[in-house]
Amino acid sequence: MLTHADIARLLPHGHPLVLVDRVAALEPGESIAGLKAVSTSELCYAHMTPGLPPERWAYPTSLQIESFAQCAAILWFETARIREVLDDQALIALAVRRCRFHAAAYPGDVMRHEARIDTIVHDHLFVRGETFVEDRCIASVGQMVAAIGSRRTLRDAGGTAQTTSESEASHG
Amino acid sequence: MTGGAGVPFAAPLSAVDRVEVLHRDDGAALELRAEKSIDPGDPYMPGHFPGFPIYPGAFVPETVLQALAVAGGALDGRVPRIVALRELRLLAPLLAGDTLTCTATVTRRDEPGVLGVAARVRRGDGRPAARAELEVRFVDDGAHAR
Repeated sequence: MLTHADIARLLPHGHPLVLVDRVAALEPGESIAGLKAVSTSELCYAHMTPGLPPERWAYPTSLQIESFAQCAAILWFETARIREVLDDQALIALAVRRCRFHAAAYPGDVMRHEARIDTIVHDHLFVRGETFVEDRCIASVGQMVAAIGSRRTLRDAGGTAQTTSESEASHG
Repeated sequence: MTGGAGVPFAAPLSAVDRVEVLHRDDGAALELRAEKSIDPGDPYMPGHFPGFPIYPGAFVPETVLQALAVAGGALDGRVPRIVALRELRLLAPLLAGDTLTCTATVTRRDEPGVLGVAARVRRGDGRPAARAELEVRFVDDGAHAR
C-alpha cells in the first residue's frame, strides 16, 4: 500500500535507520501493518564473527522497538495528511510501556508490526500493537506515547521537553 | 568507537564505553554505572536524524542491556535478552557530543533466570534524559529451536 519510496518521504529518519520496508495495510486514524525484513547485511550484524551460536543473531530488541515506532509514526503522518491538521508535522517519542518480547526475529524473518491508535489526547498520540513473524506473535506493545506538533513548535519546545514529558504522566 | 558493537551478539552499536560495578551483593542485587559518548559517527546515527544526530530513545534499553552484559563478565553459553519493557520514559534529548551516564539497579525476579533492571540516564549537564524499567533473561545459546 505504501512503498519504500513513500516511507522514505514520510519519515524524518535517514539511511540506515529507516526500519520499515513496506506498508501492507493502512487505515488512517485506525491502524497500520508495516513490514520489516531482517537481513544479515544490516549494520547490527557487522561485528558478528563466524562461530557465534544462533541465539546471538536475534534481531536487537532496540531496533525492533524503533521499527514498531516508525510504523506508528507513518500511521500518524498519513492520518494527519487525510485530516489536513498539520502541514509540517513531527512527533517526539515520550514513553513506551508494557511491552513483552516472547520470541526474537532472526535473519530471513519478516516482522509484521500491527499498530493501532488507542486515542489522541491533548496533542498526545497513544498507540499499541503487536509484532508477528509469520503467524507467531513475538512481541506486544502496551502503549507508545508521542507528542504531536509542527516541526517548528517542537523544535522551539525542545528546551522544555521535560515539562512536556512530565505533564504526560497524568494521562499515561 | 565507530565500528561494530563491543558485545558478542547482534547490536546496533557499542552502547556503553565504560561500565563500573558500584555494588554487588551475594543475594543478587547489583548496582551499575555506565557511560556512553553520543558519537554521530556510530552505526545508525547518520539516520537519526540526517544532519541533526540524536541518540535514539530506543537505544536507551540497548545501553542498559549492554551494561548488564559487560558487568556480567564472560557470556559463555548464554546471551542477555530483553523480555519485558515495563516502561521507558524519554525526558530530554541526548545530543551528539554529550556523554550519557546510566545508573542501574539489578535485582532477581521471582521467575528463575529473569533480572529486573531499573535505570536512570542523565546527560552531561546532569539533567535527567530517560528512565527505564525492564526485565532481562539470560538465554542459553542452545535454546534456539526453530
